[in-house]
Amino acid sequence: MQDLPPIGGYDPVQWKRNVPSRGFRPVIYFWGIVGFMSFGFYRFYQGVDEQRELSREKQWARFYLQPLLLAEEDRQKARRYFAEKARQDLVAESMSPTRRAKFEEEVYEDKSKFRFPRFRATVQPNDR
Amino acid sequence: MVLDDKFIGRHQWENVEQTPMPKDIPDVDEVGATSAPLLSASYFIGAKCKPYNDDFMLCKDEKNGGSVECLKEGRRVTRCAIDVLKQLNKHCFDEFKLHYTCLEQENHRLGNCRKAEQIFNKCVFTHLNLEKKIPEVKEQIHLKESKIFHGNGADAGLVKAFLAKKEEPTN
Repeated sequence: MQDLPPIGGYDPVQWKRNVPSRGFRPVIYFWGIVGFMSFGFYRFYQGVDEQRELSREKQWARFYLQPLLLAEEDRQKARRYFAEKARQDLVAESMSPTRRAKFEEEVYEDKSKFRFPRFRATVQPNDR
Repeated sequence: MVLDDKFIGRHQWENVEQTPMPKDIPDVDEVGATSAPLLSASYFIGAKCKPYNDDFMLCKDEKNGGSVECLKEGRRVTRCAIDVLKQLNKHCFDEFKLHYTCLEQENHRLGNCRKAEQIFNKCVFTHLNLEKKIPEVKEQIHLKESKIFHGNGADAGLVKAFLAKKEEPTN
């Protein structure tokens, strides 16, 4: 003998609270976020493009100034080189002929281009 | 070596080369402009002095640096730049000053001084017939109207005041 359900079935069981569901349908949230993010990325890459063009502008401004700045710097370098060369010639005058020949020997075999001197003659440290 | 006003060492010396340039090399004035005016004028210097600049840079390229060989070309470059700056000062002094003071205030960001740049460029175009053009690109950023980065907008107020002041005497 087995207990059977009552005739006409059990009473319904309340398994969920009777609260109205909040907000919009989920799909609206989904597309809303997608739209918002797309707009954000669109503006972000617009900004990236703009930054690139701004730095390009700045770079070209520098390129146009570079010869001018280099010319000024080169003039100073040349002035120091000529001054040093005049001083070296003075030092060389006081040397003995053999020593002077050795001193005036070229450092580099390749004469095709000018190089600033790496070494220089000075008076002996004790004579300073 | 200097210790509290006492000089300790064999020779007092300064690491500055005082010797002037040899007599056979012609003198040339240096530009003497600071960074902001140079940045402001750079596109006009580039437009006006292109042949001299290119010649100088090619000379340097050919001569392995050419610090000593390309002095003549370098003098031409400097003279040309000085000439452009003189012309700017002669015809567009106020607009030029407005733009470079703005650049100085705005950390040398060209994008934050567009209003001042606009009237400066206009003045230069009418008087010197030089135009700012960024090469190799179609989109000219300085002519762009809608911007993402616009700075603090202090520049717009200054330009407005400048234009109002400029129009005063005529009324």
